[in-house]
Amino acid sequence: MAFDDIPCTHCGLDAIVPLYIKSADEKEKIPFCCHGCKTVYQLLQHRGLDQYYNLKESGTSFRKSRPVEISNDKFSYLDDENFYNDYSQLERSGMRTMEFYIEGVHCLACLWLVEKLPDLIEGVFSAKLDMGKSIARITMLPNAKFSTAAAQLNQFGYRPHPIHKDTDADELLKKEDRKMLIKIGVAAGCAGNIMLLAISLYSGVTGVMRRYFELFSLLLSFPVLFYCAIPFYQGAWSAIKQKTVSIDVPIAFALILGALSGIFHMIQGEGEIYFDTLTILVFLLLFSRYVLRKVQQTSLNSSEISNFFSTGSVHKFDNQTKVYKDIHSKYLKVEDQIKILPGEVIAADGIILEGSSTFNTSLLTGESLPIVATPGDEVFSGTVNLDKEIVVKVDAVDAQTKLGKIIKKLEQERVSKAPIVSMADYLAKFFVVIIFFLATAVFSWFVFQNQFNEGFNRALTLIIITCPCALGLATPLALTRSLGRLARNGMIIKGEDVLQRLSETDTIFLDKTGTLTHGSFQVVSWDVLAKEAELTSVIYSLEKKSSHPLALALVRYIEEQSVSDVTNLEIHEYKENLGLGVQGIINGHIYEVRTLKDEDRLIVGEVTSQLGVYKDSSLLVKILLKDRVRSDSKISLEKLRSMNLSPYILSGDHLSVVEEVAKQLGIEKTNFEAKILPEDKGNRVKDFSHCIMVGDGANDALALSSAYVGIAVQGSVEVSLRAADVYLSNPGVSGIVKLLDVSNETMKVIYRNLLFSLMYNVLGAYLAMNGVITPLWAAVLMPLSSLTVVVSTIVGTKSLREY
Amino acid sequence: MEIVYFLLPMAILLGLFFVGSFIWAAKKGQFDDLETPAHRMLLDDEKKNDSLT
Repeated sequence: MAFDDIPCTHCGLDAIVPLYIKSADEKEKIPFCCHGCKTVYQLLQHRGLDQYYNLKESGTSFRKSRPVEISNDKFSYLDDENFYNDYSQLERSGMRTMEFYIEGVHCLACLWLVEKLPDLIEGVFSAKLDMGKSIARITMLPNAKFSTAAAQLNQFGYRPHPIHKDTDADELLKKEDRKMLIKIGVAAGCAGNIMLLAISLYSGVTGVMRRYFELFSLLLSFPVLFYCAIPFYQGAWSAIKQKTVSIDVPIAFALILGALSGIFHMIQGEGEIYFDTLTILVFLLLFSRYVLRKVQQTSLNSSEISNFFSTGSVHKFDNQTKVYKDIHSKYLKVEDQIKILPGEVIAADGIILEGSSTFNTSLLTGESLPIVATPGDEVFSGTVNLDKEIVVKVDAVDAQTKLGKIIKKLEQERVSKAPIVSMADYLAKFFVVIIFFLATAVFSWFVFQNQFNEGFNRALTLIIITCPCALGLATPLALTRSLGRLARNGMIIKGEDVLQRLSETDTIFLDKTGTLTHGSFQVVSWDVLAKEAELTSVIYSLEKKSSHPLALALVRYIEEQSVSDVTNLEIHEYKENLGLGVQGIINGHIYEVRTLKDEDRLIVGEVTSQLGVYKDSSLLVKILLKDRVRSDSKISLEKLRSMNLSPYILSGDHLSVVEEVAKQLGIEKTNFEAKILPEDKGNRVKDFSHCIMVGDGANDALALSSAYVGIAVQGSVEVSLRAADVYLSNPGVSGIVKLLDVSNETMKVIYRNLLFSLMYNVLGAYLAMNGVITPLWAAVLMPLSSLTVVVSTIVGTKSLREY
Repeated sequence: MEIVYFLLPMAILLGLFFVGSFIWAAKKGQFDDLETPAHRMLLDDEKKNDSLT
């Protein structure tokens, strides 16, 4: 059998078990990796939008591609009056604009498709996408419904999440960004011109013309020294006030001293001016800080995340109109009555008034099998309703729900996470004190010998050449590059010290469900005891009607196995028995797909779910389903071990399940725990000072926040995203290996950069103190050290270059 | 070479003009999104009516 990896026609990733459809002329088979991609392809063909695929070929990919996940979200809550007025902004002529974070945008073709919205949906005036932030700004005509635009985006596989325009905070951020950019522009403009003037000064122009050029150099340096350099003065001042030294202190000092001596020399009529060096210094430093800031902005900050991922729509019973209306969950109050349909996430804690159903509580507790609840039972926010419609009376919302309490607790813990001192700041303190001491010593020595000028010159040279601009650049540059690389690979880091922390860790705690395993059931074995025609169709038809995770797994399995000969048969008297299975009459026989009756069970334990297909009470097929371990988990764990990290498993699931997963992955008995509660996960993690926690559910949130580094994986709940320091948007543990690799290598580059700048400075200091170089030389050589650092960062290390 | 005394301020004024334009553009938000326009310009304009070509 040929092992060619067939790429999915839509997303381009390998289709491991390809789904095929026939092409328009019936001659070819077109492959897809999954149902989602196939659906979008057919939709695009149907709407005449297949230019999408041409664009995909021609454009470069901005982010890694992912298979399409189509959700069943309805977006009518967007049209609810409260929401509409709250979330959208009024523009001129009555139009309204709302911003959405959309998932899955990764290339030129996606950009084209999203911005085509005005042509596809009536009422959309404009759709503008910001690829860096994945935010779409959609402007609708007055009285047009946002739900139509959102639904269309969703159909294309770009799931939209409305963002609340927190105008104050947003505007502030934007203004700050612009201010920084303006400072950089002014610094660049002035520095460039000063350098041009400096050419003639270095070439030896004399006399009045020299004065003239010097004067203009001085004037041009004013904007830079008095406006652009303000951040450094502020930073230095606040450090001094706190009786400490940060990297801003020597920089500010060099700027002031250099400017003063330049002016002094001008007045004297002889000597060098340093305005070119000083202004270029300001420009380089501002630039590197800005770039770092921009890279960090592509990651989501805490308040934005909650907007992106909170469950939107709730069906609330309106007492006045006596019908259910769709509203956004944030407008829900205690005592409200809500209806929750199968497949929907529950938005608040409450008591069931009507209906019984099964629920997926894995995000809250980590249990992989659903639990049953009936009228009178309590249900919780964050869990998923699986089978039947229920009506619930709300008794807790937001911060008072079980989920909300977890969020609150972790926000309190958050504050106590100690910030680590960055390497550069640490060295800077050391450095500055020494240099100051040396400069004073040299100066005094020469003054003592009545050589004021010589002393001053040597001290000045010393200070200029050891000005730690390289030191100040070393860390930001290396971090920027790495953070950018990681973001391209779907890894989002919150905070600059995370990479350093990661390189210091020695233990890693892993959640089981969703992280080490797929988090969904998969068919492990399909044992046909008695063959029958159309049996697959029977099973398919019965299971298609249920939304129980086991049913979904069966349907998925059948769809992936055979496309052509499965049909949806007519069922009479369909019945779903909660917690047991489904049954119906097809072609005159009673078929049941249900958990195996005791007499037919294999002695496997609770690990697998065992289903049987019965025809008129006789067993035809035995099906075993399991939440399978991801194929990359074992290898990744081995790699982690080779990096000197000890892996542990913490799970809220049953012991036997966890035991088996641990056995599969080679984890010893002492290193895993089952049936663990969220608070205990947090406590366990706290016992280790330098550990990583990896998880996705709400039951991991406390641990994520207490760990030295918390990593939330794809599929995470809002709570976990808030608590974590890193978000991996690609599923599985292999991403963590990459992340750690990048952190270690980045730290190497940072240390190397710091080493270079130190060596440079030591050499320069030696030469300066011995009078070998003049302040002029110092001014020329200083940018050179920065250049070395820049080149060193770009070159990186061998493995970093691969990303 | 005395003309330099006049040229220099003129050149700097020109430079200032450009810095001014930069500041104006930045305040207007032209530099807020630097990534997307790079991709967007690769898209062809669609012909709205085929009367001319």
